[in-house]
Amino acid sequence: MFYEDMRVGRVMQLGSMAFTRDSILAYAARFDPRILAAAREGGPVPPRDCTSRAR
Amino acid sequence: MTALARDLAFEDFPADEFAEYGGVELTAEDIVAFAHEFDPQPFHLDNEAAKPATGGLIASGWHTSALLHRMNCDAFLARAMVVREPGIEEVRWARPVRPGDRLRVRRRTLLAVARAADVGEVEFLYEIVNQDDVVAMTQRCRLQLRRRGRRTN
Repeated sequence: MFYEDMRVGRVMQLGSMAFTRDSILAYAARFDPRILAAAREGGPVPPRDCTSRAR
Repeated sequence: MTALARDLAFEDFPADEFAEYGGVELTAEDIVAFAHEFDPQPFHLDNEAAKPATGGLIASGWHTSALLHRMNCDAFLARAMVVREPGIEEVRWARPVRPGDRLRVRRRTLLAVARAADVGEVEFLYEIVNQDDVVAMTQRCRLQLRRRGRRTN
């Protein structure tokens, strides 16, 4: 793809991602330990900083 | 990480405060592993493939961002009484991060404003700097925190 392929106003479908508990916790272990702590306490998981593997 | 006491409130982050913390060294293996999962572009995956474009392997900017967040958690976020994280205002990747770079964080509080009787909002400017004091990344974001000694709703 080149510059010319990125026209203003063009809408592109870029796939989808699925979140699993395991993938959220795996990311959290590396980059956001607050999520791990919340999960251990059985509390709500913070709403940001979650990611997952592409499906 | 075990749960820490949440003892940092809005008042602990006054405007113009400066803090410096963290320290993490990136290996080529770290860079490639992150890129395989989250940013599979050639210059993050393979040193030879990266040479024409970037002079060699460089870390994904999202990897640097994730490391910033981890250093923030370790330094203060895990102890902060966070009410809301509205998002990131701006992020810029000023210089490439390469294998062997050692990164740390400089944080300046740009703004500290009471938003409600029990909530205050701060705006931080983070700089990720390397071992040569070169700024590799900046991020500006806002955070809402509980005010100390105020009744919650």
